[in-house]
Amino acid sequence: MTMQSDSTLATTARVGEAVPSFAFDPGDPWTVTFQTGLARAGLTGRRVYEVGVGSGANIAFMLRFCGAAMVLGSDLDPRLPLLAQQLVAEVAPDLVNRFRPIPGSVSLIDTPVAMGEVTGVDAVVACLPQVPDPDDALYTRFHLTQLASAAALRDRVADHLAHYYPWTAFQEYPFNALGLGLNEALLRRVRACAPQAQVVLNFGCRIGKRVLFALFEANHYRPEELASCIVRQHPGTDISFFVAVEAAMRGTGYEQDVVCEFYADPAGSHRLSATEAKLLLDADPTTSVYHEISVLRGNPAA
Amino acid sequence: MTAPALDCRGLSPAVTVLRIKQAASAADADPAAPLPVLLDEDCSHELVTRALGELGDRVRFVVPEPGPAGFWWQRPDLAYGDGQLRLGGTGLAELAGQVGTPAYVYRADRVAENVGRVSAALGAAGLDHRVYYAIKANRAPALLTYLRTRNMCGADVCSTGELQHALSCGFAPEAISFTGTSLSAREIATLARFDRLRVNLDSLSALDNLGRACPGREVGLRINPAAGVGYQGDDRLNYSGGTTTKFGIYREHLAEALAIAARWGLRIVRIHFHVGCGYLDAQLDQLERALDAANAFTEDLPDLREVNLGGGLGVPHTAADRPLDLARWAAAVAGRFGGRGLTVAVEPGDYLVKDAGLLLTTVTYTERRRDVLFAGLDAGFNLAMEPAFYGLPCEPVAVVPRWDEGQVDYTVVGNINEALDQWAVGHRMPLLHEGDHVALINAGGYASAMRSAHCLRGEVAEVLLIDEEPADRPAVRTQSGGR
Repeated sequence: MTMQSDSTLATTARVGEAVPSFAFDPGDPWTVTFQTGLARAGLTGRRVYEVGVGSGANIAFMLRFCGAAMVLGSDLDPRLPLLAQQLVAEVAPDLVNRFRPIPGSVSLIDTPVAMGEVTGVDAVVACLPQVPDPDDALYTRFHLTQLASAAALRDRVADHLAHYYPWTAFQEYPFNALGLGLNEALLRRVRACAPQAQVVLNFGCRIGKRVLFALFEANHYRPEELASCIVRQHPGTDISFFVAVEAAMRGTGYEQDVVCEFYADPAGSHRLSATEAKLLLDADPTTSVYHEISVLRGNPAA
Repeated sequence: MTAPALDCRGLSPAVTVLRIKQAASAADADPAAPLPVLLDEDCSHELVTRALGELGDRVRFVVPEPGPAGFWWQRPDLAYGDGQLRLGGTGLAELAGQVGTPAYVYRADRVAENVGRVSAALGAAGLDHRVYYAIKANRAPALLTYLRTRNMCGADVCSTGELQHALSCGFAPEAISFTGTSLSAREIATLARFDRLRVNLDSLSALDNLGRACPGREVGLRINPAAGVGYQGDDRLNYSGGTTTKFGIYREHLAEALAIAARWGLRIVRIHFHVGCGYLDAQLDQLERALDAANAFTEDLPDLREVNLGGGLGVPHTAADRPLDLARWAAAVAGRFGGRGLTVAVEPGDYLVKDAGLLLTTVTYTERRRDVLFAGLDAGFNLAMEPAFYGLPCEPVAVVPRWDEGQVDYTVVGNINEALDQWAVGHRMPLLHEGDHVALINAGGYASAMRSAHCLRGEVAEVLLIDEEPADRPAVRTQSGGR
């Protein structure tokens, strides 16, 4: 293991780059809530795989505060697992040998090495985008059909892919209809590779918490909530998708069955539809609207 | 060509309506074209149709396949899709129709993925390593040349015939590891002509003969650590356990081997051992004992540069088998041989190719005799001998399962006039009809390579599938998302 660490740190030094600013802000309420959930996930002595390691903040947290025996992790950005290892080496040098970075650019767990590693883990954790990319071809057409306007993204920010996912590419997954195709793809892959593993996912509840539970149940997991919090809608994420979903439901008789959940206040007492939230934001982009985030654990159903 | 059905299983009627409306909004779709939809079994056709209004006229509800949620052998590249078993992107019913049966079918990219996993595990454990594919597992020339051109591994051969074959498929002598047994004088003479070949001698007599033929050469010594391992503890697969075997030089004969080497000026730079076949997680403790026993040889070999572990890494054969934890395996190796300036070589065969291939067959009859329901296939054990010889099953899997007709227990048999010609006994699978196709999975290793023409039923096709490179892989950031 010593040789592995030496060699990987050498690679990190060659990379010689700072953690991208968007990788993870440890004080971000999404991160804080996710870690609250991870602390309740019973990871002591467990082998954990994190899909999307970001800066490595969650890895250090799971090793230091959750007592995980081993954490493995990958990211679409091939720089991040090595930078995460560097972070762990800095904040928890005694634990760095218990983190194994999975090399390369890894989408979900879609490389042979990642799949092989996932077969032996007790838990897979992730926080994945749940909003279609406004530039996605299928989404563009859906938006146009429902809202009679193009889904124009005003500013393409550096962490665009941290907010959005390519919707068309996950159209084979039924819950893609609700922006959950990427999460469903992960559940199915984990189910196939590691049927014994629990899955802990961090969700925005804008599409409604009830359907998040349905996502787990439909994929043969028993869901339970580990943590939740109401947060301000991130200004970098366009919520037109939720508005289009509400528009699509009008006139079907099922308007009350697919209800997007936003709030006008941080306490979550004044409920807004996505359409109402979007109108407020369009009128004044500095307006704060809120939604719940929730950490859900899926235990494999018998 | 019919569009694939829109999968709405698991969705409520409301979300099903939403999903159909989303699919219908695709601009490139013919606005009048039918929309095939797979509904969840709890979802009412009538309610969905009514909610969709005019769009409901385009919807064609497809009967869902009531198959089980998952199979132990299922993985992303071996699963049902569009009603048939698929290996990679290839539909096996379609392939059977094109090439006929019986036919071995291999997915080359799966082999490459398996090589990559082994190599990555050794690398992650900090080991300088080499992987040699044991071509005795599957010597299909197309597969060997594919591996050679990918430059992912060398070749392990066990005879001069295999040596010539590896050379003919593009492997250079220095990329070939030779470990044969019971070598003839003619084979020794052949080996002597290849001075860059990595030869490992497995007996005192072979060491003496090669020393005489080419004194001063660097060689490897196949040792027998007198501790072994096999799939599910099966002694037939244990190459160096309690019973004295023909494989390698025991510790008590090492001094004699060193004397022979000294006589001919041979430098023993490598030890080689192969302690058994098919080991999985459950056998790793046994493997560790064998590694310890092998490690004990190294103190007497001052010129040692390489430790060759042979092969033996197994793949799951039944639902009860837990896959080998490569990280744990590599850590066990690194714990003995890491950090000592040694190269670790490994020679997997089955691990690389077995789950990458299957034997496609056709049902010739189904018939109940007494209380046993038989399904006969057009392929017998002569095309895949491991199930009969070693108890390593090739599970029969329906290629186009008839889920709606129920499942029954079959004794699946071949077309060879031998009593042991049984693929599975009391095996539950969807109802089979004559002419249906059945895939015998895990037939990528030691099937074609060991086949015979027994009963003159050796005719079989062989197909290597190579994935198309997607032109434009979607980029997905899978971290810190969802804001």
